[in-house]
Amino acid sequence: MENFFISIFSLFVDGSLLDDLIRQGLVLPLGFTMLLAPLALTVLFYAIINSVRFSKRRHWLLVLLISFVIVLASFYFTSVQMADLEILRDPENKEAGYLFNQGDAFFLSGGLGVGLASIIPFFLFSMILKYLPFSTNTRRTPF
Amino acid sequence: MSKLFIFAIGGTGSRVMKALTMLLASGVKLNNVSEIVPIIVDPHKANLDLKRTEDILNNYKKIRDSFKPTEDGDFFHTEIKKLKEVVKGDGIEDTYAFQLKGVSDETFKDYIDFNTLGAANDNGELYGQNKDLINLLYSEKQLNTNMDIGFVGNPNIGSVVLNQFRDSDAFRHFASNFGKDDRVFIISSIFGGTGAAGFPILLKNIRGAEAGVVENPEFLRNAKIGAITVQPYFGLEPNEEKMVDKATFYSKTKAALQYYSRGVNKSVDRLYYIGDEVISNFKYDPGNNGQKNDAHFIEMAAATSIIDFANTPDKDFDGGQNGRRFMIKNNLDELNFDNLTERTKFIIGTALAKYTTFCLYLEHSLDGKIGGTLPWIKDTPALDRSFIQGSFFHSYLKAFNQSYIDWLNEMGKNKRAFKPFNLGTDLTHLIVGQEPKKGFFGLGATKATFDDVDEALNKYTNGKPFPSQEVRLLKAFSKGLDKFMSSKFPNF
Repeated sequence: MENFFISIFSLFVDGSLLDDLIRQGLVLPLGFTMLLAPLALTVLFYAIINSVRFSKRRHWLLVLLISFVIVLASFYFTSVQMADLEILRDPENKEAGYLFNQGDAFFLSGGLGVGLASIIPFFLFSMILKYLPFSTNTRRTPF
Repeated sequence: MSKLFIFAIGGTGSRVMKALTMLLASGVKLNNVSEIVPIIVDPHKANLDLKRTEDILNNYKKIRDSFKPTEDGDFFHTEIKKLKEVVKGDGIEDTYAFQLKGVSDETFKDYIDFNTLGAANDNGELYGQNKDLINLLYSEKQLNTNMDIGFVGNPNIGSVVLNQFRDSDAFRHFASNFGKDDRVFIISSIFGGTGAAGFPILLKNIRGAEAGVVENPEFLRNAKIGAITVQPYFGLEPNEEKMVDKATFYSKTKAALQYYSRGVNKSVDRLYYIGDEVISNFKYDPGNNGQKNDAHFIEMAAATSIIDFANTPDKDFDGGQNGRRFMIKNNLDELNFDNLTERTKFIIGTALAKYTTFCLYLEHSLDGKIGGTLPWIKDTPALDRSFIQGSFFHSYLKAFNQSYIDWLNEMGKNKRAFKPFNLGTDLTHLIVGQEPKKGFFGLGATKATFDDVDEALNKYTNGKPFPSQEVRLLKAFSKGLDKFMSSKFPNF
């Protein structure tokens, strides 16, 4: 599973940052966030809310946006927090610098990439959930 | 299943038939008959009430032909057929109205060949005494009455002219095709001309069906016959030239009731009486513009008598007390469902509330939801723009629904008024006197909205196949609104 996430992250995340994520064992939790956030939000949209008042395309897009922001934010803030910990890249060689020292721009672009990747599972979960019997009011959303 | 032939006589007959059509459109159930065959008897062809009723019946038929309802409680469930559709034989016109002959552009004097009554016969004998007899029975004004505007409150004219019904193709075909279990219902007013005269004549001809003239005359002689005789419930505005005087309504009613008690009551299996002491005056207009009265609560109540008659099993017509009256709980100038008996409310209340919701939804909400994501609209066959611009929706259904809303509005402003619904966009206050169900633990009042209607329709249509857009639309509302009503107005 970790390899699967690494292969996806490698499409969007800077190599050095990805190495740091792998080294700190963060690929798996961030990968699951990329899957579980869309899953939770689609379940919320199709099964729990399942309301006519919130069944329009714009509501679905809003939920998609929320999912995207959650994934982006989790990636970004995880990276920022790790940077704040100032973990030495090589404990015996301080000049090697710290892990997650790539900077905010890298964190943000990585988060954006992973967020974009989360659109695919969001869409897939939507397609599955909308055809289940409980989504009486949302089964034709987004189409 | 059996047929119910409804003879709707005169202007009141047309208006009660209209009210019945509205009730049947809303899904009110008839138990012992599967189809009804209205035969409107009115010499006044320009009567706008007659025209309105015919238009409504035609639209009902168009809608039903596309919908083909299958379940009890479906809108338009009861089939309404023209006489031409149920009889075997030619000579019947393709209309709901019986075509009276010899009344168009003809005075009563001409109709009875008055001018020849005094002529000599082949033997040279004069029959002038016949003219004297006619002059004794009819005033000059009555003799010169132009009958294409009806019998204008003169039952003594109607009783002569309507006798032609017995010899008409329509009656012959009706009588010959009358089945063993078929029933007859006659709607007439007792205080006018056409209805007061037509009811006894029609009854006499049905009960007096003769072998050799019609097939199976015993079916007619033994048929279950119900009738409603509508007593005064409206008046006419004062007018110098009017031929109908409301001052005569009560004397005519009294005289006719006395006659009915001797010669009519025993021939019917059930006779319904209805009338009202609270009356409003309509403009008297028998000319080419035709008499067009606003719909009245009494007409709707009269229509429930037909439902009661149809729902009465054969065994309950025991030949005993056959009279029935319609009662309201409170003597108020403005009525709503709370003022009707529980039985009446049970029969028509939910059905009318559902159909009214349907009309309001189509008027105020559907257009903005076409092309959206609502499953009940978008599932195949989808209700799309071309559907709501097509003839079924635009020409028939919307026209019918407009007639329905007009009918409610007219009843609401008449005297005595019947105003059971608030016809706005706010479904929360749809039913007068009814609050929507409270929220959790009885706190706060929940709202009823068009979104709630959509939720009910989505739930009902989920996973169900529909053969056409027409069926999807009407079935969804017929059945889906049950859920809406029970969840939002559980105490109604």
